[in-house]
Amino acid sequence: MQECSISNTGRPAGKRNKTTALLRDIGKYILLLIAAFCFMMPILWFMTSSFRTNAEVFGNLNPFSLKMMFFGTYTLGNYRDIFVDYNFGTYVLNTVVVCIMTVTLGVLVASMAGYAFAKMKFVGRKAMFLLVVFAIMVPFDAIAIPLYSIIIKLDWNNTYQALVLPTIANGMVIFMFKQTFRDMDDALSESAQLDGAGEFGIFFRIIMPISIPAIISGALILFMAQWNAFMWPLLCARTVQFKMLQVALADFSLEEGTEWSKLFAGITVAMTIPCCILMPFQKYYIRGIATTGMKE
Amino acid sequence: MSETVAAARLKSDDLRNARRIKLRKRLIPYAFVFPAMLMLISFKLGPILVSIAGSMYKTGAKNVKTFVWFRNYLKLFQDSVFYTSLWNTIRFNLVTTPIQIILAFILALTFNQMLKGIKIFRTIFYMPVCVSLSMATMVWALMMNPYNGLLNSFLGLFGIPNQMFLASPKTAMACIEIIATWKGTPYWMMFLLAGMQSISHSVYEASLIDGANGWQRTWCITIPLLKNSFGFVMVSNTIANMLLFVPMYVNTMGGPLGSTNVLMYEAYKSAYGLNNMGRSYSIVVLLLIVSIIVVSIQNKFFKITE
Repeated sequence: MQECSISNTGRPAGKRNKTTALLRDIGKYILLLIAAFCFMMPILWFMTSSFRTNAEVFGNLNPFSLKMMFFGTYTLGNYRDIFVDYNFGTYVLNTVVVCIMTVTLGVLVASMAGYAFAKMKFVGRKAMFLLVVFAIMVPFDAIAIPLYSIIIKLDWNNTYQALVLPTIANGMVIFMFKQTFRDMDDALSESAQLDGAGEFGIFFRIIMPISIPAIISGALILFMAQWNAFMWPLLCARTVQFKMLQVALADFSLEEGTEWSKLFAGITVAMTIPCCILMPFQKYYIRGIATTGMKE
Repeated sequence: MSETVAAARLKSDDLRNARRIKLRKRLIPYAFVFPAMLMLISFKLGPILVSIAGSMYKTGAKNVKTFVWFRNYLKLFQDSVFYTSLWNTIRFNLVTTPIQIILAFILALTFNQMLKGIKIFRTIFYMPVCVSLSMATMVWALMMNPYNGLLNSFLGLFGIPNQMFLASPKTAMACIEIIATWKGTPYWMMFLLAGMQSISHSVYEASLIDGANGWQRTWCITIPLLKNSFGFVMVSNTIANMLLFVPMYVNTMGGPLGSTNVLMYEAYKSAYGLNNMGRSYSIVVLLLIVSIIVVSIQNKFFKITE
């Protein structure tokens, strides 16, 4: 550990030699390039390979060269095959539908609860909020196995409600909405109340429209969790009609053990969709999780 | 006369209306919280109760259940397979969690610098976040193919002989640690970077006037002010690593020779492979206890909730 008292003998940092600064920057770039290479190589490899044939990808892996990572004849054949021969469109559609349901219902349920916890007084509020905090502490994957027993008892195996409803029970999103609404000014809702608006009217017409950033945060948390979920869809959605993308890909790799470039095409599709949604909004995603976990 | 009666009736109507409005007002909060509470009770509390109760039953032939108190746990504690998976889980956590956090911190520090084109690099690093762990495992397993894999061919450049990677009990766990680090580091980095960017510039400017150098700024300003972000990342990362399941399911099946058998996979295998729900539930309960303890520690030190 370095001492935190600062001696004033050193040169002021502002007048640092220009060449040293330049060398330092070059060093940083080299570090970044090495790190970027390590983290990007797998992605680059499966993306470029998804456009080439198996033989081209695996035929000449030795010796290592950049050529073998990128060169070859690029076609869309793998994409055609997975969508036409392997039902991939159904799995994408399933996942999209389940994600849309999860996000819509989840945001609605969590924002309403968050609003009540933030702005209303009622008996049992503390106990109920304790349940929310407790739910944050219980990770979803840990309870997947007993949860599956409940789903079987309800006869919900292979249904939308089995995939959607347990994901909605997300303490973190409720907590995030509560924090957002708590910091909100009461003036708007009070004036609406004087105009005779009911609580539901106030919530849906006034509070929700000015809470778009929080809604985006909540939607992204729920979406990313559902899109990348593996263990839960693996247990409760096994039929073609309900199988989710991640499970379908794992099944494909276990069953069609040699069609690697087709698998890569599937993986590329499965990663591009959340990438396009997360990238423009990642600020909201981080902020949403941060309000739960990193409060001052 | 009739006027007063009418007035009285009006008054009582008013009273009834007022009472109704009051009642409505008192019930409205419950309408707001009811759906969420119903979900949390059925799908969070419910499974916990099911696993606690289920861990005390033994399912025999013809699905006959007998109440056995804590015998499932006692059996578990005498089982060497359980201890192997427990040790694997702990070992995986002890290695992966610090590596991920240290790497994430170094990367976040680098990304927090004013460099040209830093945004492009940042975007590149966010990409593994969108690759799910199951997909990452599949791709890495192909790269780690012992006989015709990208990684062996790359290592060949440096004269390193072919490695067995996931196929050898000696290296399989290390390979999963690499995969988890690849997938996890950018994710945790996002939060550390967000924390760093929320540190006010004036703090750094003041330290510049005092003549603090880069290291001193990191040690004395960045790390202490990132306390909350670090706490959150440490706990979430520990729990995520403790419940690791996907790479084992997708690739190693806990092998070779049980070298990658972790608790979550053991619970899954007990339930659906060995048909021993009691054993599975006991493991789930143990995992739940540990994760609740870990999060409570976070609550104590970092005060995430009220």
